[in-house]
Amino acid sequence: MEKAQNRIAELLLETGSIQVFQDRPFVFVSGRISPVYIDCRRLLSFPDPREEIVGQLARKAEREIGLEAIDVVAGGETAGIPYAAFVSQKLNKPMIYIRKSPKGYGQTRQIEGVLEVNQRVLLVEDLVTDGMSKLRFNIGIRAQEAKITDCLCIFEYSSDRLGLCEGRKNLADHDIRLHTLANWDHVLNVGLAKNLISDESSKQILDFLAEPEGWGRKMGFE
Amino acid sequence: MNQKISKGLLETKSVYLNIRDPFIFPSGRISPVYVDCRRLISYPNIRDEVVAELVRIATDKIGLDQTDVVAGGTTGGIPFATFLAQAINRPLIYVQKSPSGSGSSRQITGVIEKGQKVILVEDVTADGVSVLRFKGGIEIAGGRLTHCLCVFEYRSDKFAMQDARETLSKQGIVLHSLITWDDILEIAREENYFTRDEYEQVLSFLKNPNHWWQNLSR
Repeated sequence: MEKAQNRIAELLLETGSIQVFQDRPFVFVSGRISPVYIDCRRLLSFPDPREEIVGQLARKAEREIGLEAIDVVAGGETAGIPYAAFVSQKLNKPMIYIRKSPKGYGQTRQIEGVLEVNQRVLLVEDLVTDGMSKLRFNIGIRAQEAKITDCLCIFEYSSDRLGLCEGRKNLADHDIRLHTLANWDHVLNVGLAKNLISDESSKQILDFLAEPEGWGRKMGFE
Repeated sequence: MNQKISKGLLETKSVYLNIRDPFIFPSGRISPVYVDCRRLISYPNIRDEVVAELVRIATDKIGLDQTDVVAGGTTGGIPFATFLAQAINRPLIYVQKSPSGSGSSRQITGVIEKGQKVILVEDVTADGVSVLRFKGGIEIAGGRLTHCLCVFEYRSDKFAMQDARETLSKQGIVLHSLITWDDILEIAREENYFTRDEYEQVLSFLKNPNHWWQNLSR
C-alpha cells in the first residue's frame, strides 16, 4: 500500500505536478507564500504517468467503493472534468459535470449530463485541500435530489505525521467518504529517498504545513 | 453519417425543440432547436460509439503523426477531448474562451511546446467563432491548430447551411464533424421524433437561420 502511494508521489514530482521552491517561494492568488506548488493539471500532458494514475484511481474506486455502489461519476468545473472523464470511461459508468454556477442561456443548469433522483454520485477531482469546493458541488447535486457519497482524488493536502486532515473531516461531516492516492507524507518520503527534495526543503515544507500563515514572514519573504 | 450516434442523440432526448420559447445562442441567433451533446457522456454505450468515431477520424482523416496534443474547448469539449486523448495516448490540454492571468499560455491549461500540432475537440460547432477564439489561445502559446473535431455541427448540406465550415476554412482549420442536421432530420423523420409542424419549423429554421424568428407567425 505504502509502495503504491509512494509511486504516485514520485510521478507527481517527476511530472512537475508538485514543485518545490528553489530560490524564490510561490505566491498564491490569496497572497499566501508557500515553499510548494501543486498543479495536477500538468499531469494531463504526460500520457504514461497519467494512465498509471488514472488506472490507480479506477482500481481504488472498484476496491473501496464497489462498482455496484456508483451510479454516476462526476467532475467539478474545470480541473475535475478530465479526471472524471478518464475514470468514468475506465469504470464504464455514466458521467456528468458540475458547473461552479449555472450557465446563462439555453437550458440553465448547473449539472451537465443526466442525473436522476437518488443516484449515488462519485465525485472525482485532482486535489482535495479543505474540501469546501467539493461541498459546494454537493449543493448542486443535492438540488437535483441526488447525493455525493464518495469523493476520489489524486492528492490529499494532508499529513498523518502532522495530524493534518481538514478536508477528510469536513467531507465526513457531510457523509462523504474520501479516497485519495497520496498525501504530503508520501511526497516527502519519496522526495527525500530519490533526492528530488533536499533535507532543508523537507523541513521547510513541514514548517509550512504546520503553520501556513506565518511561514513567509518567518522566512523573511515578506 | 453515423446512424448510431444520431439515433443516440434522439433516444437520449438530447435534441430539444421549443417553438414558443426558442433558444438564444451565444451568437445571438434565435433557434427552435437545441442539441445538447453533453448528455451523451452519461450513456457509456453511445459514448463508446462517439469515442470510436473520434479515434477513426483522428487516425484516418487527420493522421496520428499530425496529432501531438489533443485540446478540449471549455467546458463542453473537455470530456470528449479526454476520451480521445485517453484512447490514442496523447497529451491533453484544455483551452478557455478568453484569457485569464498573465503570460503566453493564459488561455491554456496543460503543456504546449513550440510548434506542436494540436487538434481541438468540441461538443458542438455553430458559427465557428468560439473555435477561432480557441485557435488564438493555442497559437499564442506556441501550438498550431489546423484540425477541429466536433460531435455535432450546426450544418445542413441540403439547405446550404454551413457557416462554421467556411469561416474556419478561411482561417486554415479543417472541421470534422460526426453528425449534422441532415443526419438528425433523416432519423427524426423515420422515427417520427417531431410532429409535422415541428418538422416544418426546423426546416424553416435551417433554410433561413438568421430570419426564422421574424418569419414565425405568432
